[in-house]
Amino acid sequence: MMALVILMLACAGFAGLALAMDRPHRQVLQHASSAPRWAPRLGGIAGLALSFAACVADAGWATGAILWLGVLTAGAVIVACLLTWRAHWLRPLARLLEPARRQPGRHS
Amino acid sequence: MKVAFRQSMAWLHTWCGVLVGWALFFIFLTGTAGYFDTEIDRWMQPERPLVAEAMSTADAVASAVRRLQQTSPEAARWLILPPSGRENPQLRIVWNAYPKKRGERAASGGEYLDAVTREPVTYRRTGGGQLLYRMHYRLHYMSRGPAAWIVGVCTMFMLVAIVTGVIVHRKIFRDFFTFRPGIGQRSWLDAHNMLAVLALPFHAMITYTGLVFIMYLYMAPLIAATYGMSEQERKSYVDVMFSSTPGAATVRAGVATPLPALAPLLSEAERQWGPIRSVTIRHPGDRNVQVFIEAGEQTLSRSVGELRFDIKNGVRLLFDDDRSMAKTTVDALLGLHEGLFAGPLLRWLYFVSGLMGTAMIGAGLVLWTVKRRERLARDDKPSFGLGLVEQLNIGTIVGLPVAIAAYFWANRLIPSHFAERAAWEANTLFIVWALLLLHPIVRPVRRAWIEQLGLAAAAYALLPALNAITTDRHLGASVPAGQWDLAGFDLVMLAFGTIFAVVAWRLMRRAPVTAAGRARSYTALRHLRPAK
Repeated sequence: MMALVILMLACAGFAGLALAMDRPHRQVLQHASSAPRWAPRLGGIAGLALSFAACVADAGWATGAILWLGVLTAGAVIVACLLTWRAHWLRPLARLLEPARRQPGRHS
Repeated sequence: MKVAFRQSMAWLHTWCGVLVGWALFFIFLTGTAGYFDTEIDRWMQPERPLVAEAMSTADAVASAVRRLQQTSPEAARWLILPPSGRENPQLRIVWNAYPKKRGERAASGGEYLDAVTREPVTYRRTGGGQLLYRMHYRLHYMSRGPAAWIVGVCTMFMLVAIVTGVIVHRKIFRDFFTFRPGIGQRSWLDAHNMLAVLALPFHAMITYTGLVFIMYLYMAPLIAATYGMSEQERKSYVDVMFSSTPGAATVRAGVATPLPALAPLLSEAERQWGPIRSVTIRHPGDRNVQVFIEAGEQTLSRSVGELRFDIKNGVRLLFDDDRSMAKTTVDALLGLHEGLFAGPLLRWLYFVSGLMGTAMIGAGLVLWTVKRRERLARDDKPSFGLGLVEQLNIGTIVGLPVAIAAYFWANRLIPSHFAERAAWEANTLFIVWALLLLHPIVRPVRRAWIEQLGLAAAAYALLPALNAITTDRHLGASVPAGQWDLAGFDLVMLAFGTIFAVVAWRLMRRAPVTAAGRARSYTALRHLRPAK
C-alpha cells in the first residue's frame, strides 16, 4: 500500500515536471506554448519531495534515501512511457494545472 | 576546444562500450538475476514443500542440534539456520570439521531438515539462482583470480563509459522523457540515452561498488605498503577485511563438556531483536564452547546484531560493532551493491534498474551497428568489423537470455538421479549460448534477429507450461496457495516471453530499411523537433 503511494507520488511529480517542458507539453495538449509554466513545475517538485518524505517515513533515512532514488527511476520510466504511447492520459492533469498559467496580468 | 573535447569523449565512450559491451551485457544480466537468487533457488527445487511448515526457533534449533550430534559430534563449528524470512525458508544445518593439517581446507557438509519429520531431506542438485549470481563475477568456468581481473577491467571500462556518456549527452534535461520510436538510428539513441539517464544513480552506484569488491586486486601495492608483506602481516589484513568476527577464534580445550542449554540464550536473543538468522556453535562438546547468535535483519552496512555467549565463564557479551569507520564504509558500499537489506519494493526496483542497465548496454551495441548500416550505400557490403559486431549482438542480446532460459529448461528436463546434473544445467546454458553465437554467421542479419527473438519468446513463454507438466508446483498450485515467490517466477517468465514475442512480431512486420524509408523517417524526425 505504502509502495503504491510512494510510486504514485513520484509519477505525479515527474508528470508535473514534464508538463512544464516544451515537448512533453506539446505531446499532451497538442498545442505549443511559450509562456513559463510555474504551476506544473512547482507541483512536480512538491510531488517528488512528498515521495521522498514517504520513503523516509516508510524505511528510515538511510534505506529511505536509496529507495527514493529507485522510485525516481521507476516514476520517470512510467511517465516517459506514458508520454511516448499514451500521452492523452496525462491531459486531465495538464488541464488541472493549466488555469494557474492563465491568471490575468502574469506572464502575458 | 569544447567541441574537440566532446568529440574525443564520444570516441572514448564508443570504443569503451563496443570493446567490452558483450561481457558487460553478460555481467549485468546474470547479476540482475541474482537479485532474485533465493526465489530462483526455490523454483529450481520443486521438491521443497509448497508451503513451509511453521516451526518455532527453539524447536528448530533443538532438532538441528540432535541431528548434528548424530552426524558430526566432533566438528569445529556447527551452523544452524532456522527458517526465517527470505534467505532461509527452510531449516538448514552446516558443519565444519577441524582441519587435519595447518592451512588445509577442512571437511564440511550440510543438510536441509524436514519441518515435520525432522529428518534430512534431499532435493534435486542444482546451481539455482546462486549459480547465476556467482557467474556475474566468477564467469563460471574460470578460477577466482583471473575472473576477477577480467570482470574488473570490464567494470573499469563501464565506469569510463558512464562518465564520458554523461559528458557527450548534450541535453540530459531537455531530452529527459524523449523517446521517438520507429525512426531508426535516432530511436536507438533515444532508447540508449533514456535507459542510461533515468537509472543513472543505479548504473553509477553498481559499477563503482562493483569495483570496490575487487579493489584488493588493484590496490595490492597499497595494501602491502600499509600492512606489510610478510605472511603474518598479510593475514592480519585478511582478518580485518574479510572475517566477520575478528579475534573471536579460541582454541579447543580438549576437555569434553556437555552442550549448555540453548533455549535461554535463544529467548534472550529473540527478546533483543525478534527473529534470529543463525546460531553458530564453535567447539561443540568442548569446555571452550562458544555460541554466537545473529539477528535476522541485515542493515545497509551488512552488519547484523550478534550475541556472543562465552559459556565457560558464563558471561554474555553483547556484540558491539567494533569495525573501524573505514571498514564500515566499505561494507556499506558492498551492501549497497548486493541489496540484501532491501525489502520487496526496493528489491524490485533493483531488478528493474538492473534490467535497464542490461538493455542500455544492448541498445548501445545496436546503435553502433545501426549508425554504420545507415551510412552504407544500398549495395555496399558491410565491413568485416560491422558484420562481426552485428553477429555478436544477436548472439548475446537475444542469445544469452535464451541460454538462461535453457538453464531453467535443463533444470526440469535432466533426470534427478543423473550424477552431474547441477554441472550439466550450467553446461547447457553455455552450449546453447555458443550455438546462438554461431547461428547468425550462417543466417542473414534480419532473419537471425527474428529467428532468435522467436526462439526466446517460446523458451520463456513455455517455461510455466513445462513447469506444469513436470512438477506440481505450477501456477495452478502456487497462486491458490498464495506462494508468490514461486508464482512470481512463472509470471515473470511469461512476461519476458510476451516481450520477446512482441519485439519479434514487430520486427517481422516491418519492412527492411530502404532509402525511401530512411527519408521518411528523417521527415518524421524533423516534424518532432521543436520549432525554433
